[in-house]
Amino acid sequence: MRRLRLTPLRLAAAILLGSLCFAGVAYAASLGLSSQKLYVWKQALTKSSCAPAESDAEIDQSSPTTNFGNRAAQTVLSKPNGNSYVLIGFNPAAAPCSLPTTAGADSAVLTVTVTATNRGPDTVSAYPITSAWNASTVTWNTMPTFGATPDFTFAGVGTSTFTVTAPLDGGIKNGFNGWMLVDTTGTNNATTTIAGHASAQLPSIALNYEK
Amino acid sequence: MKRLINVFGAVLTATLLSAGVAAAASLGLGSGKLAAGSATVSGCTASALTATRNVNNNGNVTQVNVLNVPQACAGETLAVTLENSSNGSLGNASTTIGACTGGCTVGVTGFVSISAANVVALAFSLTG
Repeated sequence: MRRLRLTPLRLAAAILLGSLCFAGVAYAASLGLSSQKLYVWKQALTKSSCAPAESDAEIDQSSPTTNFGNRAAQTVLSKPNGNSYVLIGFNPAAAPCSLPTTAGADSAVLTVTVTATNRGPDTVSAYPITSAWNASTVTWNTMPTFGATPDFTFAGVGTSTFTVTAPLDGGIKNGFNGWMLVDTTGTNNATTTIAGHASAQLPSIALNYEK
Repeated sequence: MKRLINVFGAVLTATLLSAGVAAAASLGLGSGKLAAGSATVSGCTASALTATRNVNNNGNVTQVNVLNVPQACAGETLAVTLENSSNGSLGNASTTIGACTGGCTVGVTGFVSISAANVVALAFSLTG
């Protein structure tokens, strides 16, 4: 085997080869960087809790132009003629919650207290209200629209809680109109009396939110 | 001999220059942590976009909505990672941004049973 002598020319050739290798590495790296467009960012979320402002009203078919807003007791009644419904609403955009439309509910639990029933107890169904209303002005003739499927139902005297996370989450973003309480058992003249806005047991929501 | 020394000098200079480029490129690669902050290379947006998220009644995240996405981002991939308080990933999902008029809302779905209560940050990336 012949011994390879290191001449200046061979040394230069070796260095040139090394240079090309470095250039190759550099080209591969820049190809990797420029071959993909990229933008990254992060959005931090603030967690807290509040009880949205509540309002309620009773609307009576037998007194279609009279407002019964924010009283201590509101009654759901079902009979052949002269029904009455109860509307309960919450406003997460108002104080004390003051949530922006970009916020969201992590969890929400509604508490409703029935103080009395008569000729029942009948089942009361809570339908989601789908248009705006005002507890100080709403009447039977101006009742808001409401959905066909109840979010929850209850019957009998006592305090009940319902998970309403999805309705509140959607309501924070799009405006929340609350629920229409309707007797869905039948036309048997039964009444269900609910603690209203002016009582200590008014409907309430414990809301954990992020914004 | 003098000619050889000149050739050697030129080659050495080229070598050092190439080494410098290579070092700069590898530094760029090694220092690029994608989750560490913002680095704009894409031209479709240069600002952090605001997002909201939807939950089901169990409080699990069902969708993340990125608001006001520029039309120029159509065709790029929007990825979302839901992070906990330790900056760890609770789950991720992505979608290809479709064409829309003006700024549009892009919904990202596909999160599996992630409680919104545990999500303290939303991390996003746009790649194209």
